[in-house]
Amino acid sequence: MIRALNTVLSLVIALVLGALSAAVALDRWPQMAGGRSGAWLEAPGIGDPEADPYSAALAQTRLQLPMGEVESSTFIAVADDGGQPLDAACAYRVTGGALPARLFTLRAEGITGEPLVASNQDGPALPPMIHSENMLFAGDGFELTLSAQAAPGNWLPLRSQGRFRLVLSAYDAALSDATFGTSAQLPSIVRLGCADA
Amino acid sequence: MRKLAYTVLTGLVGAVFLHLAIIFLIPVLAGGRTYAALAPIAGETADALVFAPPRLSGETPSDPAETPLPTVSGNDPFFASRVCAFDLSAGSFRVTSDDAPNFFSVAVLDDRDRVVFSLVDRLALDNRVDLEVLAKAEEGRRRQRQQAGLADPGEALPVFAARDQGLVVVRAFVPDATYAESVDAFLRGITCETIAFGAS
Repeated sequence: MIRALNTVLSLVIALVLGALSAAVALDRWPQMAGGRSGAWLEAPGIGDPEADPYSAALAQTRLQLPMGEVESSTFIAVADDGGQPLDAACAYRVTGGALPARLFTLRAEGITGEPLVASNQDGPALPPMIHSENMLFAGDGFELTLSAQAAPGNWLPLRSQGRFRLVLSAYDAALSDATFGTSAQLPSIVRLGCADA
Repeated sequence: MRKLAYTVLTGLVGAVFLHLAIIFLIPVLAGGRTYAALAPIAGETADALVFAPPRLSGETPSDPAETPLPTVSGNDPFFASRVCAFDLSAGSFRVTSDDAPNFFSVAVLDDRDRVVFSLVDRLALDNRVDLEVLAKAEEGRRRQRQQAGLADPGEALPVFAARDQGLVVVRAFVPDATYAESVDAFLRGITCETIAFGAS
C-alpha cells in the first residue's frame, strides 16, 4: 500500500514538475536565451535550422513566418535602460546612432506581440511604429520620443495603457546576427516621466 | 523518511525526463505548424496568398468574400508577404516577379518551418525575384551542367532544399499607405510554378 502511494507520489511529482517547468521554460526562453545589449534582447532564432531545442519548440507554439538571418535581425526591449518595465503611462526618449542595416523599423506592441489598442480618443489612432526612411536624423543619429502627447521631431504615439515592448527589426544588416547586437550600438531608452508619478 | 526522500528524488528525475521529452518532442510532433496551416491554401493555382500589413491597410479585408487568412504572429507591420507552397516530388519550383517597388526579401522554408535559404533584394538580379527551388538530389546534375557550359546564364538562382515540401515567402516593405497598391500588385504578380521533370 505504501509502495503504491510512493509510486503515485513520484508520478505526480514527475508529471506536475515536468510539464510546469517545460511551460515556464518556453514562456521565459526569449528573456533567458537571447544575447543582451543594453535594454535590448535579441529575439530567439525562430526558423533557424541550427536553433537550440527550446527555440525550436517555442517556434512551434505559434503560427509565424520565420525570417532568415540574411533578411533581418530583431531585438526586443521590455524595460528601459534603468531596468524599469516599459509602461504606456510614461514618456521615453530613444536615442540611437546609424545602424549597420539597409533599413530598420521600430514599433511598440503589447507584451506578447499583440497590437496596442488606443485607450482614448485624443486625436487620430496613429499606429506606434516608425521606420528609418521616414525618420529624422541629425548627423549620424536619431532621437525619438515615445509619449501620449505629440512631440516635435520623431514621435511614436503611446495611446494605450499598461506595459508594452519595443521591437527593433534591422533589415539587410551588414553584420551577422552573432555580432550585430554587440558591436552595433542599439538605441538607448530613457524614461522621461510618468503621468501618474 | 528515507523512503519519502527516495520517492521525491524519483519524481524529480522523472520530471527532468518529462521536461526534456516535451521540449524535444514539440518540434517533432508539431512538425511545421505554419507549413501545415498555409500549404493547403498556398497552392500555385490558388488565389495569391498575401498578408497585408494590418495597421496600414485597415482592419478588414477589402473583399469580404476573400478567404480569411490565418493570423500569423510576429510579422513586421511595415511588411506585406506572399506565400507559395512547393512540392519538389513532381519537379522544381520557380518563383519569378516583376520589378519590386521597394525593399524585398525572400525566405525558403521547409515543411518543418525552418529557413533553408534567404536573400534580400541587394543580392537579387535586376531587383526581381527569380529563383528555382530544387531537390538536393538535383545539385550534382545542375553543377555538371554548369561545368559543361550548358547552363543558361539567364536561368534562375538555384536553391537546393533537403526536404521536398516547403514554402517560399516573399516580403516587401510598405513604407507608407501610398506604397500599398504597388506592393500589393508586386506580390500578387509573383508567379509560382512547378516545372515538371524533363521540362527544363
